Amino acid sequence: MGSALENFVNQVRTMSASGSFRELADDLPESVSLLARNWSILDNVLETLDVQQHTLGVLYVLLAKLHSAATANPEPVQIIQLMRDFVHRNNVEQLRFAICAFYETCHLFTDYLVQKNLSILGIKIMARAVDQIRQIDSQLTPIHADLCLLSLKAKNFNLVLTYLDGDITDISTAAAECKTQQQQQSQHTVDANNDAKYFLLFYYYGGMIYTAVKDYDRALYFFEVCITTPAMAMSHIMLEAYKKFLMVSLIVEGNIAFIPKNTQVIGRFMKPMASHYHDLVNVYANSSSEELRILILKYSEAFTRDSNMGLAKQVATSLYKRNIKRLTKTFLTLSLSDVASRVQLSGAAEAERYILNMIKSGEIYASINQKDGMVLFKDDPEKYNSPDMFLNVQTNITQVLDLVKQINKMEEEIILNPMYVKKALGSQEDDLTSQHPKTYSGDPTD
Amino acid sequence: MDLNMKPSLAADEMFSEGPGYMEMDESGGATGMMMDHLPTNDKHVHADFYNNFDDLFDDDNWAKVKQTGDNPKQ
Amino acid sequence: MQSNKYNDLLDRLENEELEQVELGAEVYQQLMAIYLYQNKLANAKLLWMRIPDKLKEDKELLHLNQLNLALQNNNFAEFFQKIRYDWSECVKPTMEDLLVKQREELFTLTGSAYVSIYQNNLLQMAQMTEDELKNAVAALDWTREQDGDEVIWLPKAKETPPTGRNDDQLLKLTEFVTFLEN
Repeated sequence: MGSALENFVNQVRTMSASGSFRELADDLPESVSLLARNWSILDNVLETLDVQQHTLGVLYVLLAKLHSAATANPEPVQIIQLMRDFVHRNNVEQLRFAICAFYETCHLFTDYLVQKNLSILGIKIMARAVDQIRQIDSQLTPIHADLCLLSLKAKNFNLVLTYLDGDITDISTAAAECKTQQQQQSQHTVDANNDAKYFLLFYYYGGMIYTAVKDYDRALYFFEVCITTPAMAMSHIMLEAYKKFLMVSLIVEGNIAFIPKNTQVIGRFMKPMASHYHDLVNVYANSSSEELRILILKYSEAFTRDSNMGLAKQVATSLYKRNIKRLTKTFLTLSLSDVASRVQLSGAAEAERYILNMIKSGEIYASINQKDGMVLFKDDPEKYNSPDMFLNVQTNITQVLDLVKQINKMEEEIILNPMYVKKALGSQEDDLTSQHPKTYSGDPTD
Repeated sequence: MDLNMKPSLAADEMFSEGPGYMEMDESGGATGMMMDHLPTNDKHVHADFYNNFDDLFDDDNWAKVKQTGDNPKQ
Repeated sequence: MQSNKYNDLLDRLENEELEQVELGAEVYQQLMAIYLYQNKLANAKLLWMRIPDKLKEDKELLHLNQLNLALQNNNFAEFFQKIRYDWSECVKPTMEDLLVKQREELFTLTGSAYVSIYQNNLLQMAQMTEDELKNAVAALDWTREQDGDEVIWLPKAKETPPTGRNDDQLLKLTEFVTFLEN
């Protein structure tokens, strides 16, 4: 081992032993290039360190290993084992002094697995990393996006869904973490850019995951968060989320779901770049499955390029169903061939198949009479008087009450924030100088 | 939107548009204006994000889809 | 019900899939069988999509996926045809359970979705012999009618069984009213 590396090991051991983790964490970034240059002997360095006692030292060796992976070409199994071992045995107290380095290590590890086509083996490791570093269960971290990416590449969502299902009330960003770790301003800007990226990626990938498991309501919510994030520039992540948002909107609601009006980026940048998708929305509104089919065919190349062809076909299916549902509101009974011609299906048999599937999934209430080839549309038999329905309502009430509590708590935090108070009072003073005093009334925190 | 006209100020209105967001320095408080940190001279960002997935939403052809195999990051 | 019957095994298999590199066909066979039995069709579709290409030539996996396709497409006839197969021991019990469950599903669905259904159509969907069908519908108290040369069945609407949890319900209602009053 070269003397520079020996110095590194000694520094890690001495400072860890004396508990000077803050100082160690401040010094270590300088060692990354040294470590990466010596990629061939990093395993020897690792042998001299203990994950539990020298968490920060091991973290930086891992970081250097991942940085030099393209040159060093290590055995994937070894890298995976090192990361698995690290997230299971590290000392979280120490790790907290180098959160940014940990995030970076996780990002590089994810990229590495995706490249090696071994994403599935990273899912549990990244889930464990999230568990370790988030302060509370409802905190979003930049490495949530990595967990989602690995799950999407592996097409395996069992574990990631438990992370997506909970609500997010707090965000850990590299910018905030690095600021507290007294890093340079230029680094700060880079991190802030990446924070936005990983935030958007979490909601974009999350929306894709929910779409793949056909939880369209939740998917719509995730895409909505992504596209309504306040922004001065257009992110391509937002643009792709916007395309999928439009399609999932059609499946869920039959038109464009409500978008808050403070999102000028959508109108200015995204609408023109998603014109095919807006055409789809417009044609859908005409309720003609035939027109829609022709349009999808016309744009199939663009949809395929965006990996949205499958979604486009689901949009088409949803229009058949929506049109059948519309019939149930107007007619008490119709012949199957009448249904077929009204919703542009190929014939009575296909209409029967659609209706049977929709009865099965609870989308409509109807009975088919094969004897005379008719279908009888019925009302929803739910009378809201069953214990199950009661339980259902009760669960919803509890959720809403919890949400109210959470909102009150967050509002209180904002009202007590000195920056907010200053700004709020500041604009009131503007009011005083530029407006008649009587145009405002009451307490600004009212 | 003219903030000055508002008799009482809601938090979301403060974050809603234009430069001059307020900075919230507490860790985790930066939710409202993440993208504000982006360099304003760039009109488009994140063009290189990873988006190379098989079509996971196809209900017709999924049984025939071959694995895409090694996908070097774009 | 018993749809959580395989949960422990499922947990173990899903875990195994996340931790090991070269899995044999058997893990995927069992996973597929359980997803189908538990009616987790989105999972079953994704599972097939992620099974390594070389294992997709496994005969039993291919056959399981034909069941998967039939269920995804709501194609009863195809399903009951394809489930007749000499399954290996590792999925056999699950396949037997799945068959029972889908038979039940077929008669529940047709019972609620049809006022009348031709026997030929029902035979086709259920892939049963006339005698098997007669027994099945006799147990459900369906009415047989003759329509020219053809037999037509009039299903009997199923009564929803009353759920006897009234005390519990009353207690919760009381709690809620108390909450509203405070």
